[in-house]
Amino acid sequence: MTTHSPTGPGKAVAAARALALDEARPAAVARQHDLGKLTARERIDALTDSGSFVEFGSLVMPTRDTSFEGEIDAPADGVVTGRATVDGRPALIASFDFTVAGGSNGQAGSLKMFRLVEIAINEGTPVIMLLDGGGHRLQEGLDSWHFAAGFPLFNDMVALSGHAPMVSVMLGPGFGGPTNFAALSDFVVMVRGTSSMGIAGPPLVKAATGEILTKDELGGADVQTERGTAHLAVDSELEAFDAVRAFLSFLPSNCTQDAPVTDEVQAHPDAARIGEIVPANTRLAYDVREVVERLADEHSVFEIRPRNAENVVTAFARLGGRPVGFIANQPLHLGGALDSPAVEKVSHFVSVCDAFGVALVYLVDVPGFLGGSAAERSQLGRRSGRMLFELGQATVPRMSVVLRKGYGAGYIAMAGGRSFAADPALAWPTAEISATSIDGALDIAYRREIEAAADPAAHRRQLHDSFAVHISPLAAAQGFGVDDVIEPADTRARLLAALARQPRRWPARGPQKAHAISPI
Amino acid sequence: MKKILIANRGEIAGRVSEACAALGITSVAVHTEEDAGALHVALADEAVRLDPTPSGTPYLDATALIDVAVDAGADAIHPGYGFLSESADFAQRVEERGLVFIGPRAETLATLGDKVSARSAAIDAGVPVVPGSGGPVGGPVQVIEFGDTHGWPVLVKAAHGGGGRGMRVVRAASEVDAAWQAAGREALAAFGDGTLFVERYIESARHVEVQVIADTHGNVVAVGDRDCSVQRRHQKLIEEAPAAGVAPRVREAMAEAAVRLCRAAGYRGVGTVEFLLEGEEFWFLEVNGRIQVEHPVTELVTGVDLVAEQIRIAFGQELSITSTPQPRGHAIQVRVNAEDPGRGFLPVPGRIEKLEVPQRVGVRFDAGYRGGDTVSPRFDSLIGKLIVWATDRDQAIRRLLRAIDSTDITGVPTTLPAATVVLSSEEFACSDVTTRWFEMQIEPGLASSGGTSSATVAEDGGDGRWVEVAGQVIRIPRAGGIRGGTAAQRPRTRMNRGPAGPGAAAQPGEVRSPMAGTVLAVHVREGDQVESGDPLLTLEAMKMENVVRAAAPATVATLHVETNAIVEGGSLLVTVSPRTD
Repeated sequence: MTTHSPTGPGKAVAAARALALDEARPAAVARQHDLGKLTARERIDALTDSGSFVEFGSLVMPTRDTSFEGEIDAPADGVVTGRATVDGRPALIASFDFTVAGGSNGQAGSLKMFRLVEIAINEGTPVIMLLDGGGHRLQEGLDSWHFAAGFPLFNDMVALSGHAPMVSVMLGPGFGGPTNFAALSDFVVMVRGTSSMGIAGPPLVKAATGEILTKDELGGADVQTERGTAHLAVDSELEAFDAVRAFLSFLPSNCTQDAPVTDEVQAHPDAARIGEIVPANTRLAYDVREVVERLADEHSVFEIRPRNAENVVTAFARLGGRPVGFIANQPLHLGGALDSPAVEKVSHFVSVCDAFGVALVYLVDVPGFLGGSAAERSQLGRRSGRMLFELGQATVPRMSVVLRKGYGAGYIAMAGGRSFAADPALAWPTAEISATSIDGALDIAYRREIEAAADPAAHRRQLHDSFAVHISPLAAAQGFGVDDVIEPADTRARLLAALARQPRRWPARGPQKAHAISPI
Repeated sequence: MKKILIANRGEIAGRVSEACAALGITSVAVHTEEDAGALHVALADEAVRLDPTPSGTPYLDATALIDVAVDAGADAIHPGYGFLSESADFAQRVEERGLVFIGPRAETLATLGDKVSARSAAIDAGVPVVPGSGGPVGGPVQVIEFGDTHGWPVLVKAAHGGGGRGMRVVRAASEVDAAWQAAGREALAAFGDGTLFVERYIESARHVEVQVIADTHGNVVAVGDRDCSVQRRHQKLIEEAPAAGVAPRVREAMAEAAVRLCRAAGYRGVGTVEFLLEGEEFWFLEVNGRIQVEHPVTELVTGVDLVAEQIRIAFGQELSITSTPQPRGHAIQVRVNAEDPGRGFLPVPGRIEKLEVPQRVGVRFDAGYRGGDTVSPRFDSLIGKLIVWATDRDQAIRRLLRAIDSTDITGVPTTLPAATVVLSSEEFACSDVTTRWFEMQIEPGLASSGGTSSATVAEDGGDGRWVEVAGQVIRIPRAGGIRGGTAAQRPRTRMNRGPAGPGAAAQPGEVRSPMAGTVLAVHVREGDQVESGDPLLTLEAMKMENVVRAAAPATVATLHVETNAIVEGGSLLVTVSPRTD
């Protein structure tokens, strides 16, 4: 290969291009490294396949006709944009450059973002945003002439949403603008120590409410992942990029394609011993993640939002090489009861899976929705509806396995039985499916009768036993509420077979409409 | 003394055999069934097969190892490095059976093995430690005083903390108020106690350590120092001797401090005193009471056979040197691990097809494996250590690069490509690197420059790519159809089943709550001996019981909760001391 040394005007272009590179900006690069961060371009190198990145807009300079008349060193106007491959598949990358006016969005840089999302819509390519600082560039934004036009990017992002995956990686201060980008993303990763996010940063909060909080307290990686604002907190930038790669590996490039399937499949070494995990005694807790792990292909489980609403587990995984989304009640927390955070976690996860043709596997051990004043204050009555809504409008295949408790509306929201046409709808021999627990029912409907009895304790026991005989997996199958009662060790084979025979999507149901209306 | 049993495997077991041979002592290797043909067995004079243990590895089965040593007629046990070498319990049991433990006294191991008691031993010996309040701090004013006295930045941290919670780096007096409030609130929320400590925060320091030898006649000598700043997640990758660019009086002060500490601790054997070095200031880190992986670089520049010295000391002989030798030339070691630098240094066990190291002037290879051997996923991934000596540092770097270039290892990826990047860098050439340098400056480049030999293995094997994210190991299939891949190439770790909450990852010996709830019952008392799987306590939340069990045989040291206590997910419940029997 020969290299061409440009001459004439080409030389000026080459010189301008070189100015945007890290090599031309040692002081800025050093500042960024001192903050414990990689530069915008180093990040792209670390995330994408070697040599695959093709930049567009590297020559862009800040816009000219603003009221701001100062000089600003803003190569590429603070955002590096281009296309690359990640693990061999195409992606569009926007990497915000904190060393340029704190990563802020200038007018010209915004044009590059519009272009990026436009390409993503036209080509059906995932968008990965590497966010570090930002928000509207105040030097340009304090001018109604410019700001009155608003910002059409979000409109375009919504147009892209559900067509191709969007991912945000929080790599620095991310209050305001970057958080808005993240809010429309399907997956958000934060790096501990260096990143923050939230609707407004500490100075604005102090001015508005008087609260004095640090960036980390207000919106650090751990607090925001616990709240569910972000999906995953990791310890380093490289780990964050690996998280993005892992996330995208379960999804197609866009919704018209199939999710990547691998034919190299190995069951978990302890797959045959899956039955040891769930105790028959419903008062005993266990870690449902072990069930997920032993059901799924080995080394395929990627838990999403592991620190938020831990009473339910949502995880991408593979079954026989095909991506699936697991939704599993977690008895370790709140006994597995569903509360508002859990509902939102599941609903968003189901929505992402459905958008990209990833089948759903529900593992049911649920005592119901959580009652109480806190639950009511969080509008659980309304919000619980979104779990039903997302499942109801989903067209991907879904499967359900009742591991143990399947009580009340929680059982329905977890795709139990015929509720959402799960195929197959299965139960383990430990299943206990009922409108509520027997004790709960006795407390509510039979309290007076028990109190009035000569020996209340004995009467309660007698009533309990009279109901208990009807609550069994056998009865569930006899009434054809479930397709079959199976041994835990047979579950993997049943799910693999079901997945292999089903189409990517079931036919859409329901009459014509613009769209269904989410309860929240 | 006629015979030594080597209670280890891999390169260090082979190294001990070599020392035994040089001293005219018979060496006895131990091995599992699958290791019967291993290099360390071939290098020893005798070998004994260990029976499988129900859990864990036979190489750590103290009872079996001691029995085997007695049966074999050994006079002493050499533990190599690793778990047994630092176990006071093991040392004591070896001596109780009338054998010599080649290492420090059990009491010394106990003292130096504990961070708190090691720190106070250092303070007592007048060895500088990272300045800290050592106790609760009254308020922001005291923090500012502390910072002004000991230098900024400082770290304000929860007395009962861990995992980064209730912890703030404060860079200037003006930030103290906010940091104090924040750390205190967080500590109170997370640990139920807002008590705060303060210490000097060392941001960018080198890792420099002093090799010490001490005999039973009261002689303590510093053999020399080493720089081990090239690290990844606290794992040393490249080590050299002597530490370059250290002013003579700093070097002497460190050596004196190390000797002072070992003398005060009544140290016996070979040991390493580790320091952080920033400019001309240094602070005590810890003492490693064993032969270390990086010992060969000191051997090459001083001519002292440290393993032979270790054996001689154990058998009551006097040190072979009486003062610190003037280092001759420069030595550098790279650890050759079966790991893939292009995939986050994931261990990639498997069969080594070819292992050829050039035999040249100034090149030494301490091998743990030969070509054709299989690196087992059950043990560490150290294939061997490539060490060079040359008359000065620049020549040593060039010689090492040339040796790496001529080294041919196929079948498994190795860390050599990463070493090449380090050795070729300007910063390393100027010996201008600190302990975070590799992670910040070198590793990102490795992830993208996947075209090294290691990545080729991944591609050619059609094995997809591995990533490790938030404790979960996930295989990413390659685009466009995936074939092949063998079980042997799979990494070892599994989905993280750690307890809830950031910073809740249990340290060894800690049992933490897997959930928020109430302590329903405590099944053990302090001092109880528990076996793996024994119930420690039962928690209850939402009418659901969760039995917390012992993960390994242990002695209950401290109960941190009692019945009816309300605990958070990740709260410390019990501290245990592991037992090896």
